[in-house]
Amino acid sequence: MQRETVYDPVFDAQQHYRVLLDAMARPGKINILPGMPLTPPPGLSGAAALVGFALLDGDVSFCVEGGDAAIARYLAVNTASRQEDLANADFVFAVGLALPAVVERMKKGSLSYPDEGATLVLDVDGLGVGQLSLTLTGPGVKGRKTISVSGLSLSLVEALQECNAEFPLGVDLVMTDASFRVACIPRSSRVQIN
Amino acid sequence: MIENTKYKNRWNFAFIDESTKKEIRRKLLKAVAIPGYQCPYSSPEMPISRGWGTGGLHVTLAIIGREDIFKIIDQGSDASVNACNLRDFVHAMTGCGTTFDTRKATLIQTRHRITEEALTDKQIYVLQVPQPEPLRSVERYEYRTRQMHGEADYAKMWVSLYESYVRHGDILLGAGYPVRVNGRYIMATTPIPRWDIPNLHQAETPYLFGAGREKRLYAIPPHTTVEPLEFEDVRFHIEDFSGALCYQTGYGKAFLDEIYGDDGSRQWVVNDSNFLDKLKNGETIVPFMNPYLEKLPS
Amino acid sequence: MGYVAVKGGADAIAHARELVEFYRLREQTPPVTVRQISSQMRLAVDKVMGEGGLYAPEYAAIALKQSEGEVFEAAFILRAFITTLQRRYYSETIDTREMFIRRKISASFREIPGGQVLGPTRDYTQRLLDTSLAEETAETVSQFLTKFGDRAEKPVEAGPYDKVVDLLRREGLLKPVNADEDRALKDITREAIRFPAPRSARLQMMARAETGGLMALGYSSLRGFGNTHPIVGELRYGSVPVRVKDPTGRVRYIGRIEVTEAEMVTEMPSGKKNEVPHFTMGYGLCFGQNDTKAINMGILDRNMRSPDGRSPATDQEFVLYHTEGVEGMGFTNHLKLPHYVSFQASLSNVRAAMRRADAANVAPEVSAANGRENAKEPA
Repeated sequence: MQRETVYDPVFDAQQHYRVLLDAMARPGKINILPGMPLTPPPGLSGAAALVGFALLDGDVSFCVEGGDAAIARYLAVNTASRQEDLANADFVFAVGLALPAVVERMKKGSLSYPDEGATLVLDVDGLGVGQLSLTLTGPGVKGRKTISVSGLSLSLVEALQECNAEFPLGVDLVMTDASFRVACIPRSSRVQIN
Repeated sequence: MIENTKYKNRWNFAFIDESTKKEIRRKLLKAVAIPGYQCPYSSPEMPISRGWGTGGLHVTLAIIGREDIFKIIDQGSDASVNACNLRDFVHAMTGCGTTFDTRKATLIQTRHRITEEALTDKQIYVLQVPQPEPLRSVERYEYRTRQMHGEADYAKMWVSLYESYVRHGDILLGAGYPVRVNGRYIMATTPIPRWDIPNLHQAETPYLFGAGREKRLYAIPPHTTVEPLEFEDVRFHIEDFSGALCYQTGYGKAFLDEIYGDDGSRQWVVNDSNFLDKLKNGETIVPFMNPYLEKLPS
Repeated sequence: MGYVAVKGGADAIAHARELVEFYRLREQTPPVTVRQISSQMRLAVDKVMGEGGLYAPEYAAIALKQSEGEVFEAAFILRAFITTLQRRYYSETIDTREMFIRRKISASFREIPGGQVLGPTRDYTQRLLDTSLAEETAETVSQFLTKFGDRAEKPVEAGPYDKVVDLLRREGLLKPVNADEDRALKDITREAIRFPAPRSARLQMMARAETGGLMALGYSSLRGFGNTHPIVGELRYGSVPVRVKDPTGRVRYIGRIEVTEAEMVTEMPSGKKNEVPHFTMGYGLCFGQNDTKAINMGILDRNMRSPDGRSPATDQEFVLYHTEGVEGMGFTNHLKLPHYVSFQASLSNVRAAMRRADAANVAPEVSAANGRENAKEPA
């Protein structure tokens, strides 16, 4: 398993983080990460890999839902982050068609420390396309924002709604697709399925 | 030839090591996801004194890039001594461009004021925070204030506002007026004047708050409800300059500084130094607009 | 005139920087070498390392030189320097039983295993100002060293001798304060402290706390503002080995550091009926030779484990937040920064209150009292 040598841990991480920060601050807004010739294993998009590179390191843990060893090794080698089980991981990597149980079992934080709730990085087929239409309201959204997603299961969204109903407890969602697009739904968003 | 590098100073881009930048970046994402919640972070030491802006610097240095154009103000002024020192530091550590012009900046760090000119969705505003805990004046213990926030138990705060009204006929809070964010967390606004508070509400720009000494980060995303604490019959109001005008420009709809001459005479002048410069030079200005400003006589 | 915090700020600070450097150099005395500071101002260097939280005598000496001897400033410089260094390892647990002893004393017993070793201390000197030091020369130094010869005892290995606490423990006299005390291991330089804090966090905070702050609070607890009057079970100063685990898992020795360790012993009355009273320990450890700091750490460690709800020395948040020297110096000094905007906000409020009082045409206290009475009237 090779380290990605094209990635600059100082300047790429910073640039990509700004894209992520903007996406988390403006739920439903589709941003684009600069494409780069990465070679992640099948099952992990380049965008999801970049999210991992920007945020993971030895101080936090991750879990690859479904247990794909190649993806786990790729992330560990490139970030020095360590694996954890689903219930304790700080970052969970999954695909949009994963079972709702993923969200149910992730850590949600505590009332005193809700920031300990985990982050879900979800690879979907396409952002801005597809039949599933979500309308978001709340912090970061001017009025309402509608986003289409393909390759995201309805039951997963429902699980997310239920999980985040106990705000400030909850998990925060980062969605990525194969075209380096990224969009976020923080736990503060109210999600309506159209 | 062997170069003696032992005593040569070499700094990472933006001073902070990458591992700490990542930690700050992760915590900022959580802070944005939970508006108004104070997220603990490691807050490493900086070459600037604690209490002099290390938190603001942590945020700025964790997110700044080579392309950013950086502005920093203290009490509304770009040329204030501490702002100059921090600007030098940021510039030395990143090589990025700096500006006094509010509209040209992409990243603005501030001590205790929001600019008079409106901020846009292409900018990020970073505030230095002396005391991140809005409940500290009514509860000295951290473990208790954390519980109070967790349970949204803000009774003590409301009681203290009521007592202030009963004693003084008004809520006698000046700079750093507490607000409720997203209808959930009561948040410390840092000692910005009441004048600036309405500009936090439903803004175009994200506001990021860094309390270095107390080791907390928090955030208000754009388009978020931010309501100053008030009673139905005792409402929030901004400072009343009672018709005073800036002696240099005649402008009255900005926060004014009271200044005294050698003979003891008093004058008023626009506090925001870049705004004042633009007014004096006849440049286009795009001030913030909010319901409290609209109520002022023209 | 005075300092106008507006235009010309950049020039003002550039001039101030040059001026302070001028103050350091203006008498044109021969530059003090870093080596002179680290060898002749050893205890200042130890204090700076202890409060900066970095074991680096040479850099501590440079920091003292840079700050013209101001210890707070030097510790701050060292602390900021740490941020630039890469963290590679956590050391293996250091066992002070492996100490090469330079000083070992106990107040609890007259004789202890291995004997009482006073070591290099000014405890039993008379604090008479020695003006002959004004005339010290390389020659007088040489003469002293020749006369002294090689009488400095080589540091003794502590290994074979029991610690005083071992003696107490063996007899069943020493017990932990609280069997279910939080023993989580935290790194307070990597995460913000949370309260109630586990003991590891409390000891770490104190290990790099400001000596004077710890001393004030430790002292207060001996004068009735606390619940403990311990005695020195054992105080040691010497060097201990530091080891780390390399990436293959092998443990490697990387050198020695000098530390002062204090084990303070107090009597613990029994809490429950039929429970036998016993002794407990307060622990202190810091870089270099600093008896005051280690002893006060031990006093406060003991105090904080039995909070009494009224003494500052037993109050974790009070002790840990307010003995943090770098933060304390920064925040108290920040009051010098311009605060005129906040002040303007206060002026606005107070003037409005005065206007309200004038409008009511009565004295302010009376109108406020009226307000209170009106509020109490039944609907």
